[in-house]
Amino acid sequence: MSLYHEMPENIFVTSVDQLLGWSRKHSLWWLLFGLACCSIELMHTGGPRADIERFGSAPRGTPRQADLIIIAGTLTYKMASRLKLLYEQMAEPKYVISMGSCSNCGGLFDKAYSVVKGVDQIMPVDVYLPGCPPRPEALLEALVILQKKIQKEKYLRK
Amino acid sequence: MNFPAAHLEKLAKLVDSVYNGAVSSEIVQADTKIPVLKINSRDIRKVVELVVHHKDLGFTYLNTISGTHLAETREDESLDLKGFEMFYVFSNSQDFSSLAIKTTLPENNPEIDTIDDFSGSANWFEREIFDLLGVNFKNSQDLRRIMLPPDWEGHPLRKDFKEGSHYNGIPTTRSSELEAIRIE
Repeated sequence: MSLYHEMPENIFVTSVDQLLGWSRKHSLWWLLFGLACCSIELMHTGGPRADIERFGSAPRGTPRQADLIIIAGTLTYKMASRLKLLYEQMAEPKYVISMGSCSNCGGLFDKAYSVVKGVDQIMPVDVYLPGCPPRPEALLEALVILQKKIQKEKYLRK
Repeated sequence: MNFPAAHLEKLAKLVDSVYNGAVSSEIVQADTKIPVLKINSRDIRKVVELVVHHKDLGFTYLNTISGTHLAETREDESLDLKGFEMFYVFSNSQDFSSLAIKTTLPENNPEIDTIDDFSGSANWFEREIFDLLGVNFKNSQDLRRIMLPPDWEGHPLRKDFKEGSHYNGIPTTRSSELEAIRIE
């Protein structure tokens, strides 16, 4: 008889890293923040068909409660300082998904005078999601990729 | 609806007669849906006052003010100018006809009188043109940038606008292209 068979029901054996990663990746609360047409797809992702909340990702109205910010749309220089402020208000650990071509590299507005050429010019980005705009399914995949990254993190170890 | 033909014939004469020839004007496009009245930029307030308040005209609604920077001389003689071209489009709320007033401004130090006391919406149009083209509207109630940040330098819709290498520490060009990385 192994140890596993001697234990009562509803008891699981795991490592602390594993458990922390599992709980953190399934409670990725994201900041409600939309800049342009990508935010329409972001809204669809929150809707019943894609339903981002089944991954434990709930929208929050304040950066203080958010773990994840999804940069959905065209970032202008005028907005960049506001976005940086929102990002700095989020508590560590924090994650960034750059959604769509505009926030990846300027996209369509590559030659524009008012658009930041990629959100990674002002803050670190975890997942770049291509598309113009990406479908809700693509955003879900970006979230799953981010979840895999979080699961691999050894959060308690320095 | 088209501009009433009777008014169209009278309009240039009307401007002439009201100001006794001190204001020169001509209908440059009479066959289009919106006829264009070309005037000298110094007369803008007189002409706008006429088309807004005259009992036969009554163009009380300001549709838009638009500006264009013309960088080089064109073939078309109506555009034979290096400078700024301004359009003021008015509508009549009774018969829904429209009228455009066109004027030109010089390349160096473009300025024109404000019309924001004739129509409240003129202020935002004028601020937009000031913001993007750098046209100075004299005696405006509130002439600030409307879309770009207040610390912005230059007027980006001018043909000679040069973008700096950085804005507030943010590079204006990408140093490297994105690489496609797939996390598995």
